[in-house]
Amino acid sequence: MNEILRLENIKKTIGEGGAAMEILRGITFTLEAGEFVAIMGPSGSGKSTLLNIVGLLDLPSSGDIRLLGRNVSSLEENELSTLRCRSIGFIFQNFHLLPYLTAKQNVMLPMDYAGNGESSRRALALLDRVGLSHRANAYPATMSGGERQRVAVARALSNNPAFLLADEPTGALDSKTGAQIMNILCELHNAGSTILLITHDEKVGSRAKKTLTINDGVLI
Amino acid sequence: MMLVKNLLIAFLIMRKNPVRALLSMLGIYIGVLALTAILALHEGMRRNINEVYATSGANILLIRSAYDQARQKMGRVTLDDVEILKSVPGAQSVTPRLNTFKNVRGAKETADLNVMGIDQDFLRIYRVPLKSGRAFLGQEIKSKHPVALLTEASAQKLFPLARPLGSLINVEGQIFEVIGVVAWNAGINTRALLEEPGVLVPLGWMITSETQDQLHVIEFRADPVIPEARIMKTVLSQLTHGESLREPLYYVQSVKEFIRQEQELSRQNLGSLLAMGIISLLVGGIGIANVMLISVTERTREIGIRKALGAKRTDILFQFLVESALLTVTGGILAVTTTGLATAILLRLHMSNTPLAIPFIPTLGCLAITVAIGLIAGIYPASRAAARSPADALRYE
Repeated sequence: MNEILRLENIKKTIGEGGAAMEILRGITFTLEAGEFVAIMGPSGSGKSTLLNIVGLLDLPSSGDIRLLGRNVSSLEENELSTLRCRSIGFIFQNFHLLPYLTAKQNVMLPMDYAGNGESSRRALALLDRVGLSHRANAYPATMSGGERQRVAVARALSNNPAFLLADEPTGALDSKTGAQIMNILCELHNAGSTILLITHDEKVGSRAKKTLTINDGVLI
Repeated sequence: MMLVKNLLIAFLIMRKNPVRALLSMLGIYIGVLALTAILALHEGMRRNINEVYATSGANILLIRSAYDQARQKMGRVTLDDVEILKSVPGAQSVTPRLNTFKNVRGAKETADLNVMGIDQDFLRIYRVPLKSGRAFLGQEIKSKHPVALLTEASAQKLFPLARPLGSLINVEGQIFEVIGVVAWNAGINTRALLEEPGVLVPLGWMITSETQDQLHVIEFRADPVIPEARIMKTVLSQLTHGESLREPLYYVQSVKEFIRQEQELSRQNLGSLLAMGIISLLVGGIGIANVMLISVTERTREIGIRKALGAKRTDILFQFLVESALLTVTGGILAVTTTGLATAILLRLHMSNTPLAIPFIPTLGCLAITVAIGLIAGIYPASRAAARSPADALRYE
């Protein structure tokens, strides 16, 4: 199998001197192509910090991250931006759509940053894939939570990322729409997408094919 | 392509909070207002000169009487001088004028009006169009017929209801028949260097013993081929019959020089307007920087989202710079529009002696300055936005 992401003894310390706190204390795991992995853990377990590091939003204090075989733990901010743009599809708990852009424009945003042409046609195709082509010109404020998260999924897929990184994707939804979003993720997984899911919710985590638990900054 | 998208987004954001946008661009607005007002006045003065010289070559002289300090003697400009000037070689026209404010009665109404005595050439030389009726005949001027022309404004004052043509007016005891109405306009003021009169009468009526047969001013136009300095010398020596002792009794002024002096004066006034404009732009720029800082803070989460989705530092920097520049250039465009409208209204209502106009290229320059101010004011807020760490920005509440 192809290795998408590998974390090697990742440590993260926040603060300095006596107030320093070690949030991550040596995390090692591998995400293979086509896998659907959930990382579970209660709040305060280091979940969010791990998410930031896996999402290349933050760098570890020590340890190596390899994305598609490339060591990225010491890259410049701009290089990290480019990697995030092309290789990682973010799905956030609170959707994080830009309010003054339509659904289609939101989906186009990562493609614009990647400098892809034809982004408009692809955005429509992606919205169609999550069943929202009829809402392409709607603004987020006029959409339900479930619709917004489906737009966010379409946006995450826009640059054909190496893996999808979903952070509590159902956290802001009721259980029925939450289940719908999880169905979409499962469909994507069945169609070949690699997904890393981070959640505290056992029921959501159980939909993944493999589950890891983080506690006190270590995976168990 | 990215610029177009950024502009569109900047526009959407401005539209979302129009009151804040308008208030924040107020300083820029006032500054550009001052700058474009300067441009409009300056261009107006430039056209003024062109207007005067388009009338007839470049040699226009104004001849007035002067007071000789040394001999304590007052000069006199009379009809005799008009005759002398007519015989100066190269003379094209000699136009005497004499005006005073007098009490004038129409059908029922009375008004204090500027009554001007003119001779036969006046209407032709200054291109005063007739609105109705007819102009003076040469004979009427020579033999002092009691006939008068009204301007539209004074006709409206004296005869609000009746037709002025053929009616009689009473100018401090003397009855005149109104034979025509002229359509006076601001351009005539410029060409003739005078204030708009109310009533025009044959010159002879104004020359009385009371005024000791004196004229106010004689306008003299000569062939432009002759150099101005030479024609001024000739005129003065003819008027004084070659007696240099009498020269201080005449004041011969070149219109070109007169306008130049006037403009020098206006330019000094424009200086304070310019200072006001620059200060407003400075304060306006600081205001924009402040609003952009607030905007960057409010939109920290958006910055985080954009960075997570792959925006580079330069993408964020560029986005906020475009927003800042759009604010300032919008203020500038509003100011230029205001000046344009104000100019059109002032000219329409004949409220300006200067033919105000907005010159195209310098106005574009003003707008370019507003863009520059926007970019400079936006640098600090935009670079702060660009420097936000994506993880912190995403977590920002």
